[in-house]
Amino acid sequence: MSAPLLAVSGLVKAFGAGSRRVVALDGVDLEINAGETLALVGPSGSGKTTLARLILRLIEPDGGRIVFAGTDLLSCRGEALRRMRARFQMVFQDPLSALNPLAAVQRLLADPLRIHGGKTTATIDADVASLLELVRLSPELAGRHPHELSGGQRQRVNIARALASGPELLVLDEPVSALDISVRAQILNLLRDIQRSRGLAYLFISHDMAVVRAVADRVAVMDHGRIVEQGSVEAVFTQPAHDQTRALIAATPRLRRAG
Amino acid sequence: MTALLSADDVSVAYRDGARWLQAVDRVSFALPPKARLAIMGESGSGKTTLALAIADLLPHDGIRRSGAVRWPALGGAARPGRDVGFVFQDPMSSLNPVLSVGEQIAEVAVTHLGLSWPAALDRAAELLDRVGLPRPRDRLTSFPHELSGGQRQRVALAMAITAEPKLLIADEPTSALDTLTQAQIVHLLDRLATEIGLALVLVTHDLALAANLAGTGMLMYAGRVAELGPIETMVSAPRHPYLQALVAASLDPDRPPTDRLAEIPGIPPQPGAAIPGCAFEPRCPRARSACRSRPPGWAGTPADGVDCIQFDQLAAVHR
Repeated sequence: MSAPLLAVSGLVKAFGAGSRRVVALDGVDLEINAGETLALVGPSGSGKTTLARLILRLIEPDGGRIVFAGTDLLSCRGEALRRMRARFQMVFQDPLSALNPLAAVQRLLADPLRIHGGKTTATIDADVASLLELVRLSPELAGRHPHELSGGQRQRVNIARALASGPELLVLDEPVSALDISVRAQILNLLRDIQRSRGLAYLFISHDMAVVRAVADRVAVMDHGRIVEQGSVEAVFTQPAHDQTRALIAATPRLRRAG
Repeated sequence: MTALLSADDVSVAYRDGARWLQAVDRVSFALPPKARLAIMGESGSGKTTLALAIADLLPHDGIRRSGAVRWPALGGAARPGRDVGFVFQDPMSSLNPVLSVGEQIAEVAVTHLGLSWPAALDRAAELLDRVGLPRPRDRLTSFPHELSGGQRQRVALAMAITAEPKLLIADEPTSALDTLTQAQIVHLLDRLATEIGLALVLVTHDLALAANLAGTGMLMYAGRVAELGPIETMVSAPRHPYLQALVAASLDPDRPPTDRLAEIPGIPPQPGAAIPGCAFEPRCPRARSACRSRPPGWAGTPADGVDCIQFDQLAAVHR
């Protein structure tokens, strides 16, 4: 068994001080292997997004370790951290607010290609075109602005942006929950195809257990800043061990009533 | 039975510079008292505009509307702000941030029920209790920002039923909430509607949610009703190709994953696009040339039917 791509151990994070102190993460251990999808589920306030922000080093933990591909992420500084950042990227829930409204798609993709992808002006148009092709967007959309795109097209642009630096891990924070059903399957299939062709790992954050069942290899369930259950998608759904897991599965609406 | 609400050929268009964008296109349906209708559709399908038209909440400027919304069981017209309660997706934006929860609910009770201020505050506490907020008396002085998303939606629900409406319209009432809170709010909506004898119009993109809460389903696409009927039949035996595709693309936590999810190719038409035939035709696996040239006709009864040429022609054969 090879070492995991990402290993998080004993991660602790609290916000506020004194009587207003809130422990958002209370000792989290988590591993993600290369090429797999780990779904992180739990109700609002359980710590999912805080964990994602820590892994991306957008905020600093109070304690614990984050090791990415053998490198201690928390000790990385300056240029070393900048190089590491290219290897893990994030896709947000709301595809519109994550995009600069004044920039056309061409620039939205060219900027990360230059900054993180090491691409130069000479090849940038071709590189933008191949990113667009990867997320199955027509090349003529390069001149459009975010408000001129549909929700699904915007999320494809966000995925393309995240892929520009050639990452090994994508953190997907509710990537399809703002999308219509008719578009959702397109995006989920696209994510799966890209994962297979590039060997990407996904940390897929969601509270929608129906989506999780469809996309995850493994599932980690969070509650009050702790991971209360972790296992293969099959095991977690067919033999949930923790009350929180059972509650989340039971609360998911079904198209057809049982029986 | 006398219908609570009847909509006849309701159309709504929004002004966009020199042109008009048709958001709702000749929609007709009837809703008996205490019945539950789910208006389903994706972004831009016209479902929210239709709900606003029913509640008479559309602005007057920049809007062109035609058709009629009648309230036969209420003697013809609904009293503004009184007979129809409305709950929106985002409770934070529908609640006043600078008024306490108690003041906001009491204000409705004073205006519509003619209560004195102290009596209105008592009523507000009763209503907060009814929607399941713990320690409702203490909550009267809370402000919206002090509440969780689920609690805010409970307050919005309490406010929506304060004037004792006959119909509650809920527009994506749980879309901003997590799964556990969503289930609680759905349960609360169900209980309140039953207890008070409310009719319910649920506006949602979520077929499963609609199937759990409503008796009748109306699927909209590009401003038109694609399919209308008993919701159990719609999800178990969908007729319109669009509904068939949506059901196939639905995900179920009980179903082991398949290698590829069923997709619906393409995207809905742009608002204002000229569509001579069927709006779903470019995405439809069963499209034929006739679908491009003329609009589909309604096949079925006013309460149960499909807006698709294939059913129209089948019906024509049988006639």
